[in-house]
Amino acid sequence: MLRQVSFAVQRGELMALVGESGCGKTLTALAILGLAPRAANVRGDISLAGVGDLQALGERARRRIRGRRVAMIFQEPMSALNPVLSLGRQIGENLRRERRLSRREVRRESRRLLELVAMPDADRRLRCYPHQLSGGQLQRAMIAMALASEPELLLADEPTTALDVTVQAQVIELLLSLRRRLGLTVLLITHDLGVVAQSCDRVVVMYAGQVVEEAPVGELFEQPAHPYTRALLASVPRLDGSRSKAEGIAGRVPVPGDLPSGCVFHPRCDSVIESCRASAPELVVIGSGNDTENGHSSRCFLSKPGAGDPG
Amino acid sequence: MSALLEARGLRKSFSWRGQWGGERRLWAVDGVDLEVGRGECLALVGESGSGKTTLGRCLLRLLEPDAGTVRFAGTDLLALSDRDLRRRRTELQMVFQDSAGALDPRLRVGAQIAEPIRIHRLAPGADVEPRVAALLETVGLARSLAERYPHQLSGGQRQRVGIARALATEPRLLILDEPVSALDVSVRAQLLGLLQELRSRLQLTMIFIAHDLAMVEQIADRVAVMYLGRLIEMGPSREVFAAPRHPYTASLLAAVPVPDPKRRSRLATTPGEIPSPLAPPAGCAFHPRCTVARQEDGAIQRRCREQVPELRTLEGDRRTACHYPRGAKEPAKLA
Ligand SMILES: Nc1ncnc2c1ncn2[C@@H]1O[C@H](COP(=O)(O)OP(=O)(O)O)[C@@H](O)[C@H]1O
Ligand code: SF4
Ligand SMILES: [Mg+2]
Repeated sequence: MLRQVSFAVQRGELMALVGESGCGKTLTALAILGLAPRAANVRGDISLAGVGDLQALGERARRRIRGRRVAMIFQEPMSALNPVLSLGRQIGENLRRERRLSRREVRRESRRLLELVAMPDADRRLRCYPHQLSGGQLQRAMIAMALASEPELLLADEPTTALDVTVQAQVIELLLSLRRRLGLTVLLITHDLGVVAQSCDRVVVMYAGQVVEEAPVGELFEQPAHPYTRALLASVPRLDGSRSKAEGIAGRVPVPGDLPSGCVFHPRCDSVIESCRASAPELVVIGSGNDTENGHSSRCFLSKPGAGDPG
Repeated sequence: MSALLEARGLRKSFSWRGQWGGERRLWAVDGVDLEVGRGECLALVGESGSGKTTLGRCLLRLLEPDAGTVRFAGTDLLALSDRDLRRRRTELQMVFQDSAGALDPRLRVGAQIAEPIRIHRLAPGADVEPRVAALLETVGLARSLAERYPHQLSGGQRQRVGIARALATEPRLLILDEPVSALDVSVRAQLLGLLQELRSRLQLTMIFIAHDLAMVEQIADRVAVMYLGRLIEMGPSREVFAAPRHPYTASLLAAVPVPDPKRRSRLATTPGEIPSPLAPPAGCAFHPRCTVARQEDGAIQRRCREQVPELRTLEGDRRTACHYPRGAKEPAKLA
């Protein structure tokens, strides 16, 4: 499943986890929820080889959220909301459980949370049931519920993928403003490099359960080191006519039980050399950075290891 | 370019009995005029619920419109008898939005592609199998995939099967309903490449439905933008992308995140969400969200609140339905 995924999220940072479907992004997030020792500085050397059942992990992970300062929001808000309880009840229950507030405080705090996520007409919405809300409002409600536990780290798993573009834009702005106002750390899982470019500080690129590149966002877009990152970037449509045609990547992400030898990306790679088939490259620091946490690293034989010296 | 397909005044409503009795009715398509030239690719773009799928189905008469006309290659489709319609059906095909749902889970891929060939008796029995194999190759799939079931395929492969099935009758017009929306960008780009190639090789005319402008720039000659059942902007895609005239088109474009961290911009320029077609706003349906209509004191222009803007030609091939189109020196003249 996941093989030695390791990266660090800095406090107050908006970090993106990108890759195609099936690359292990969601599993990484669930692993953080269930297994990470402490939220704000999640350092996972999370080996998850033995975890077979995602569903079970999800349940257990969700139970473990309590008391840990991590909360998660999902692509499908209905999966996180209870259809037969009003929003007020659901947020209220979270508040009582997480923060032991009195009835009056719960009511005030619920309203404050809905206002925090810019829910239109917050007072009235507390009495609404999920089916009475639009897609964007559901997403806001789920974020409000996640914020009830006052998390330091918010894991956002494709939170805008199912939304219309104008609503996606609003939710991204909401995440940015929450980070600014609450000092929230956000790990944003997405396959949309446009969203990454517009909102994130750092990027981790995953392929087949591994981190293949990590870099500050500017550097990733200007000097992508890994062939997979370059191929992803070439797939993004550009509206300004700066490129005639998006390219795409032939083939598909390998399934966990059937990984290719050597570098897991080699069957789809356009720069493949002999050693790629034989042995697996390590994630190495490249360029001017001097540590994997803040610098630029890549898992490819063709990426030049850096001397750790900008000179 | 002469029009292959031409629709005038197309309307389609859905009605049902309300919870407390009485009829509830919504207009999913509310007065649409459009034409598609031979060999052209027209993109139909709008957020979910704007009526794109319903319009696409009405154009092929998979749904009966309440009013309006649809002419295909000179024939009035709505006047055809069921039998004649079935005969013409081979020329107009649709690739459906949800590829997993559109394919029968119990049937092998090959049998599903063969189905339209058999139904329309397009080839003698012995020729069906080679024809299926050729169709699979046409859409870039291995012949051996004919033996698989839909659930054994990836999302991109399923879309290709849907396209092969639609191509089986050798249609002249293909309506593709959100063919790439559910796919990863890497797969999306490949599928778009395939569609472009098919278009020129088979001289297909296409209507490409999408909810996001970013998906159509590469393939569309012209775009038509839809909002609550109406077309609100139409024009050559390069021109529309470079200078949208309707405020809604502008907000759709602004919302597409530019994949360049050096060019960050405000994405959310429009508040709110598309309203329910059960209770469409009076006047211009976009007015509650429109920033152009809002005057300095916060009040909304009266014309926008009261008068429905018609789709008018601005210049050349550009049309928009707005009282205060962007880039115009003065507001539209009162009719
Ligand atoms: N069979 C139906 N019965 C009732 N309402 C429908 C039906 N099909 C579509 N609608 C409604 O018509 C409107 C337009 O839907 P649709 O054409 O699917 O839009 P789009 O494809 O742009 O998302 C929506 O409000 C939808 O709920
Ligand atoms: S008609 Fe008025 S409300 Fe409608 S888009 Fe134009 S300016 Fe905005
Ligand atoms: Mg649709």
